[in-house]
Amino acid sequence: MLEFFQQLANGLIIGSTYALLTIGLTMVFGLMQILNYAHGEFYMLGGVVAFWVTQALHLNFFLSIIVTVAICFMLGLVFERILMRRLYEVPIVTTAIVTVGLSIFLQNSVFMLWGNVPRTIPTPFPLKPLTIGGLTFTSLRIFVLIVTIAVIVFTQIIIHRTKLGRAMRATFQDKDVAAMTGISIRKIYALTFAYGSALAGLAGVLCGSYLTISPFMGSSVTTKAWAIAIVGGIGNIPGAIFGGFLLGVVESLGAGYLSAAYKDAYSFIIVILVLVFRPNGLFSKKEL
Amino acid sequence: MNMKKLPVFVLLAVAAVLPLFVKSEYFMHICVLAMMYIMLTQGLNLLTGYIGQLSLGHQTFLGLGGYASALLAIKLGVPVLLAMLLAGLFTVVCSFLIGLVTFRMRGSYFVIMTTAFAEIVRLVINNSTAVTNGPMGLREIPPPVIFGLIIKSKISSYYFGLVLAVITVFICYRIVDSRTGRAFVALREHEALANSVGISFARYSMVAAVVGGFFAGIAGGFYAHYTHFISTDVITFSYTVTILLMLIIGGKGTIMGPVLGAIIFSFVPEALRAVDNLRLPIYGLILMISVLAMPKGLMPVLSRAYGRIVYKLAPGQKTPAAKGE
Repeated sequence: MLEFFQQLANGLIIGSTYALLTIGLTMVFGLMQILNYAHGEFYMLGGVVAFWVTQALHLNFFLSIIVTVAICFMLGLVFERILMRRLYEVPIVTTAIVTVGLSIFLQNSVFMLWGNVPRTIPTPFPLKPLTIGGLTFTSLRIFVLIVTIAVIVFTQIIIHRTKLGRAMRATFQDKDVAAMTGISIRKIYALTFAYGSALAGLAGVLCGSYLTISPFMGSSVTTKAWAIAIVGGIGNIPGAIFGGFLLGVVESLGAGYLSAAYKDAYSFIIVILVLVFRPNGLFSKKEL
Repeated sequence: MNMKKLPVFVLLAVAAVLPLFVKSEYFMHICVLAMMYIMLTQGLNLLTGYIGQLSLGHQTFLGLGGYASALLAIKLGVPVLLAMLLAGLFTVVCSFLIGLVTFRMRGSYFVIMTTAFAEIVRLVINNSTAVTNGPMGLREIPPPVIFGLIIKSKISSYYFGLVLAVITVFICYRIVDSRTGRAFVALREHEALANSVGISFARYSMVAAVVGGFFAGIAGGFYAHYTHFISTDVITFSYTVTILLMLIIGGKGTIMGPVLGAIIFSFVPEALRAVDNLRLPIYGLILMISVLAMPKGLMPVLSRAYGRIVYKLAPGQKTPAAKGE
């Protein structure tokens, strides 16, 4: 029984980073109808930038998180300006092809400049595990869980309690009417994309501190994030958060009890089941 | 013979005599692979070009066909040609089963589904070590034998591939140029309107998927028996990207577009060999820029230019349609 709870807890910690990753993706799709296949690359860039910041600039771990998130936000703005802006009025299939191109470009550029040696971001946390009620955790993992939950709460506050969030929700409901009330749709799009990229970058730093970073770590993550977005209902942020935790738990329990070799397949099996039986996601109500 | 089809026959004639002038084994190898790519892009074109649903899982059928054909030949001693045909039928069944689930979706959901299935199949093949030898792949796959003639040299493989590719292109042309093909385009242009005249999305998508799956399976068998080796590398994302690039640059929704795309992008990697590290980043850039700048691909541009030449040389001749049929 203890092992079950241990797996459950591990799943929730992984799931929290999945949730972080999916929020941006689901917002971008809900608002701009872009099937972003390059989302995982911002996750990868987050890990790579954080590693580079800690090594080259000798910043400590906590500072490097802040710097990386800021850099990913800027990169998000830059890519929105150069590329995404051209995808707002084109068919979804075209957006998928272009972002597949972006993904190939980013992955292999990083591979060329940085090589494919797996690396881990150094952290000041002790390796010695803590024991809480019979369950063992490293303090790093608890830190990851706290940060992701804080950021998820912060995101919900932005969306539901600020003027910017209200503008975002209005744009999501009806962009033409929102534009008529004086909301700058372009600005909302740019900020949403950059915010999503920053969240993906943060997930990359956090995962890069206890897993390894490589130029190709983004591709499997993109499909997983899409699976979660669909399970939660595309454009639905609470759904994405729930879906993230759900997938984390299913992967962890599945790897523990069913088969570890098929760990990466669980998300796809879930998404296929959801699409067949509940095509609009588990919570079909459309909301942001 | 009208002028519209002339370039196709010229291309075919060049392909038929090509080995007489090419002495480089390596060059021939690229040509053989180009034939495989023609079969693949042609099949994907039915679904993505004509019906307008993007599949990022087409390479799955290449892998399934390759494995099926190789296993039949190695483990059961089935003659290679029969094994390739059976592998094609096997991929037909697979694409039918996958289609039953995926064709309930459209647009983005469909795209995600295709990637999900591609990943599941790759994991299953990789983990079924007892049958497929896992990530190590299958080695020593026998070459095809036709009437006692072993197809092992580059030149004979080239002609074998050429025949298969021509059959593929011809059958796809006949499908596209029929009621079925017009139903495909109707679904792409306006699904609700197509439904209202009795054209069912699920049914016609299934036709496209099954035909595409069959040729991808044959292509997989061809590849496995030509290189004598197959592993799950062929089901990875980079193959999808290559096929997609060929389709998009050539011109999706045309018959000759994917053929041109497949030929061009079989040789582009060789041209980029000098800057090998840069090859994939350049691919990514080409994909992004070409989709945005030239969404219909090379084919409409070429066929318009050809139409102008024909008109100058022989006014009044029937010229190719501007859309590049």
